[in-house]
Amino acid sequence: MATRLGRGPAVARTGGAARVLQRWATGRLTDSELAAALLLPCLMFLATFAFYPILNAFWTSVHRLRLDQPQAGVPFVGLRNFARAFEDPDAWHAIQVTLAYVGVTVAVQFLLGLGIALVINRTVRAKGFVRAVTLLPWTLAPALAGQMWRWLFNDSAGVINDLLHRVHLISRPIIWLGVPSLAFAAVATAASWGAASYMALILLAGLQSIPEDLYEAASIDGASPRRAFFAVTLPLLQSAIMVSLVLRTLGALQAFDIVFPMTGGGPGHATETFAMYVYENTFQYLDFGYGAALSVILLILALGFAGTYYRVLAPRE
Amino acid sequence: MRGRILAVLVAAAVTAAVLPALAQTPVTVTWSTLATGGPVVSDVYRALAQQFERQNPGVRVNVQIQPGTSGEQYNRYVTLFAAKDASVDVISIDVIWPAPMVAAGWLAPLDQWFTAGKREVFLPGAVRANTIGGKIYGVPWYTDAGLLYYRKDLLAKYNAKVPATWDEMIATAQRITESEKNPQLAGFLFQGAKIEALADFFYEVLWSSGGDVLDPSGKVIVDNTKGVEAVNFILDLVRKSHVAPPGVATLATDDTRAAFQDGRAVFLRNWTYAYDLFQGSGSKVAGQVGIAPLPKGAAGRSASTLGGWQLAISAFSRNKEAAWKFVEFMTGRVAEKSMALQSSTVPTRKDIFDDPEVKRRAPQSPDMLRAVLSATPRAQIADYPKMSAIIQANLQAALTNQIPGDEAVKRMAREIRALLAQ
Repeated sequence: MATRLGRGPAVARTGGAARVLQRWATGRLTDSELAAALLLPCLMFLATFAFYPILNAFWTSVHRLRLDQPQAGVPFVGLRNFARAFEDPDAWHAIQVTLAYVGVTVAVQFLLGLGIALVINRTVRAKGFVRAVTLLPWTLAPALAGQMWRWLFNDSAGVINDLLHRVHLISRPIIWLGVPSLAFAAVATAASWGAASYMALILLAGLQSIPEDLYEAASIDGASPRRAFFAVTLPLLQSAIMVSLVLRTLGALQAFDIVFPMTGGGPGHATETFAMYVYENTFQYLDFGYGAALSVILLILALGFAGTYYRVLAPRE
Repeated sequence: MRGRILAVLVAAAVTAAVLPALAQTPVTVTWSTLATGGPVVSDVYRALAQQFERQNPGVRVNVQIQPGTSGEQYNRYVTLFAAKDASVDVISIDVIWPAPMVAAGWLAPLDQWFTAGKREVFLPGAVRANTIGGKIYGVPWYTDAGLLYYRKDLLAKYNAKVPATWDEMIATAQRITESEKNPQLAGFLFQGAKIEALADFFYEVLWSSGGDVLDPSGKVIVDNTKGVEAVNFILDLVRKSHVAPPGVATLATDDTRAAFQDGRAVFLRNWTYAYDLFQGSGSKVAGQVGIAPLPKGAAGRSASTLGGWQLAISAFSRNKEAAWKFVEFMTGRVAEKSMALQSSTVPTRKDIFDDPEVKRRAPQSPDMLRAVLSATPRAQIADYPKMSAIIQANLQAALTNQIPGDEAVKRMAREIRALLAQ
């Protein structure tokens, strides 16, 4: 499978490592060997910081590893951690919260993002400025954004209640973060606010790659703008849509940074996402084996989502 | 000539023998601590460490000050000690950490240095909190307790006395808020967010009525009538007597502090740190704030959750002897007094409360001492963090109308029993 980029003779590859090194020293590497050598640092980086932790998580997930009980050792427990997760009502609850969160936030982000992208794509004046402003929410660190929204939604000192009160929509403060459904809505709002602009940016890139003459041809054929949108824009936007949906879905599956500062998973467990539950078990209760099993489940969920998107949305040749 | 050479050689030999001893680097003790209160507090810590170095020329102190919350600090130590890291010798630990940390084998026992005689100078509750399985693992450094803060001006205006019981507190709060007719003014604030302080308030109510989560043998007893009463008492503060606003369920410690400081409550349950902020510039209630022990419950006693920080020595430390010297200094008279005066912490040494200078410059300390003396440590079990999380989540679920009070207690008991395998 190795690609030969030209000048390297095939026999060169039959040599041992010593000969490769020697040729490297004399500057006579084949192109593929050079490519491999150049990629090596990158691969080592990936191996250290991506593959090793994933493998380690798999290993940990089939062991009992409680940091607060060192004398118990690290016995192999097979799939017991996974079995425990299936019987753990809090884990199921966290999965439900996470799926609802993914569904709501990704849908809202997509619709908002598409709207923003379509508007920016049309706006000719001050395009750079509009784009920069649109992207601002995304540049704010989510943990900070969470903190900010926590204050906006504060029942007694928050701006949102104050505004609603001023326009006489409410007479007494709404306790946004103290009512499960409202807290969920508040968290979803904050998350959508932050990521819609990111969606918009990806979709805008897709929109701008659509050749103008396709629209001209459509209008010559008598297509209405609506028809052009469904016949030209959407199909050609398919890859951008897929990429943005996959990225945001994976992001929402791991939701932690916005939710944690806003609600801490509360009220009760109402906004406790799966990622927060993993964190809780691992770092608060020091149950690393169980935490690893939960994170493997999260990984499987993420792969499932990505695979489904790919199947449904990937452009067919 | 020969004599001279000999003399030089001897001198050289003596120098060679002595030099290493002179050049020997002093032992370095690394102290890792959280600094709640920011740069002012860090400066106090650094100055104390320098003072210690001057008194102990053979020991250097490397002060590592960390930002964040107690919970974040705990997670930092978890990774450090899980790796059996020896780079830290002395750590400041929250009062709820000894049990899980000792179970994990991370703290060195201090019995050989912190002898029974030396412990007598310290507040007994604080010493108990550091004693696990008959051994002692930390020296109380500064202490803390839940307190009742009240508005002196409002109480005076309505000729009300400082409430001694919860019922009195409710009646007084109702009377004042009804007469003041200020929708912004709450009668009583506590921490209703899903944080440790919510569990602490629950213990305080529960203990003041004679109940508990675990009995002395460690059996779960929270689901008896006292437990149900305690949860319902907290719910009634919001629903029945309306002294606490419904939004209390979202308030964390510092949110309640800020609201009280803004003049938005008659009574407040909070820790000692809030006092200085109430008296400081920018406070709307400066000079109007009094402190008292939390009100008494049905059992006729006032109960307060013991908070506070301890100094402990890492089990992995290679300089335990020098580390102890430093711990002894930091929990000694000089250091504790200087902290009480400069960062208004509540000392753990009884003698400091009688110090004339402390009495003059920190007039709140006798009141705080009364509260701390009646303070009760939380359950010393290795699974404390999880037990507390169970209490917090169920209590908050009830507070936010997701489940009724008795159901919250039932779930609490069931989950804690499962946790402790009872």
